Amino acid sequence: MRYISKPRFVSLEEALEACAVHNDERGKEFIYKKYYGYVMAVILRYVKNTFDAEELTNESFMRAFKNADRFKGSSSDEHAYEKSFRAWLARIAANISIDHLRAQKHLLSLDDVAETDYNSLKVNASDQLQVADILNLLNNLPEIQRVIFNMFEIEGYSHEEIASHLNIPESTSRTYLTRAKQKLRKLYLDSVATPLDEEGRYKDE
Amino acid sequence: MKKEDTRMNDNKQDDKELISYIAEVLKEYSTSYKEGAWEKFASVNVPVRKRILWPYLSGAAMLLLAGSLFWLRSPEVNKQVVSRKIPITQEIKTETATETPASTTKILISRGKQEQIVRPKYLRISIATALSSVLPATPKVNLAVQNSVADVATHSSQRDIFQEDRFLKLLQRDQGKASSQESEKSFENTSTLALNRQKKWDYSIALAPATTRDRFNFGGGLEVAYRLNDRISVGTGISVAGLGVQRSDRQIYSPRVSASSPQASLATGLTAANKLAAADEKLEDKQLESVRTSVLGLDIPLNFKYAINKYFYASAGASIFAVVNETRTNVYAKQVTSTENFSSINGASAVKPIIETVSVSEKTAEQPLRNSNFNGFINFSVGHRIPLSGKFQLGLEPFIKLPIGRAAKQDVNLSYGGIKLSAGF
Repeated sequence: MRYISKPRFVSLEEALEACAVHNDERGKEFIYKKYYGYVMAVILRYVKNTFDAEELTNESFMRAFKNADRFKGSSSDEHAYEKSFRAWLARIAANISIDHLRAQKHLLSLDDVAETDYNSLKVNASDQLQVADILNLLNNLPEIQRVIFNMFEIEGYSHEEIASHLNIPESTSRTYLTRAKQKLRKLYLDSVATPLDEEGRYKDE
Repeated sequence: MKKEDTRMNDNKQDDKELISYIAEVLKEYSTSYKEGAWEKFASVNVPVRKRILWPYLSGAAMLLLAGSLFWLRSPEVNKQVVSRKIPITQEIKTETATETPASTTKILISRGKQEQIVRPKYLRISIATALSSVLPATPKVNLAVQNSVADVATHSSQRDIFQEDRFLKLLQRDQGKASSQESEKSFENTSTLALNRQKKWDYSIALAPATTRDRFNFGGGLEVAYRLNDRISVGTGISVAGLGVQRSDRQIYSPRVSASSPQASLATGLTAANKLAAADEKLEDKQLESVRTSVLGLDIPLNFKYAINKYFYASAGASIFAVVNETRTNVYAKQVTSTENFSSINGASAVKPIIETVSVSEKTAEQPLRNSNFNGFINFSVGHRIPLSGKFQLGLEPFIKLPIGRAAKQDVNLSYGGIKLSAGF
């Protein structure tokens, strides 16, 4: 009878435990469907190609399911547990994305963009920027800057960890982070004045 | 310088606002779920556990075969009980009286119309059980036993009486042992029933070779039973049964009675097709000899089963018989007249008529069973259960099915019986 009426999971903790202990397919399905969009969003910050992003999303889930027993979240608060799991999942997705970029040798071409003086204009970002705009801004950054920006500002890596992952000096990580921020600001200001082309690039470039 | 410092601080503040906003938005952002993504992922990365049934089915078939062979080859089981009908109400015979298991002692105990021949291995228990129910263990026992012996003596020789005296002495000694064995068996049965109490549902696969009066048939199906208590269970299922029956001319048509009269129809139970065939017979000079009917149907029973003990049970119930296919063939004896020329020695020729009888088969389109509203059978069976493990058991169940409804009103006898071999779990 147990094959007829399989239990449906109501919480992430139950599903994760089922995956870790019993390698349960239903648990995997629950987690996959719930966090597919989140993992995809993380990967799209690193990888522009949607097809590659889908492949890397699946790869991220495979790694997550394989190491489900290693995740140790605080079970006292469901919200905190979920938040820590999202962070754990995001790190897996980021690592896989970086491995993918490294394999394609994108990160070898470290750009040497000279620092530019930007006009100091007050920006009220929250009223104007949407997610699609932010992603466009990110996609206009050089790859190494985008990666370091994502890792430091969003995933919460330290410069030491970034240096270790990307096999670069810490000082380089700091420099590129600063440049990424400056470039983002410039790109944002430009976007207000300059419309984007069909591919999401600024027409002036 | 102060102006430049202020400008730099403003830039940092602006950067912080923009960057923190971007980070905040991106941390919470997620795309929508793409339909079919999980199915694609699961098809590649999650192994699908298909329930492969053929090893279980082949295993069940092998066990069924092995169990049947074991049953047929086991000398103890074959020689345990042999029964035949006799009109004598009660009789005890002893041919020899030795205690050795290798002796040829036979004890015949009859209850009602049944007589059982029991081999020595089961002698003590059977006799003790049989007589203890008749003769209570009081001083009157001796008298009753003596009366029984005297009664037996009228049918036995002096030697037999002497042997029976010895036997009865042994019997009295063994009554104690037998009662303790009985209590052990009772405890065993009780404990087994108690263990089975947790299991409410029984499932089994059955093969049922059966025969009507005319033809051997084969069937089989699935059964499920629910235990109402330790002894009684109610079961149902579905099985395929093929029936082939035939009715001869005397049962179908009598030439002394006019086929067109209603009395003839009632007397002979002819169907409409048979009446037509009999009417045609007058015109074409042919006689309906037999009707062959083949029926393939699904039998859905509702049986009540009573567990006599751990190993034996009796079952009774009724079943609905859904006819899937029915074919009828009328077989006629037709007289064909021909002529033959003879020529004599002197050259004269003569014509002599010759009458030959040939058999002609004709299929009819009539399907009385298939077109009827209700066909069914009453089922009776007794069974022997052979437990092989805690969950698996084999069953050997002789059965008989008697038609009811439209099936009972046919001009052919659809009663059939056989032995059902089942593998239960």
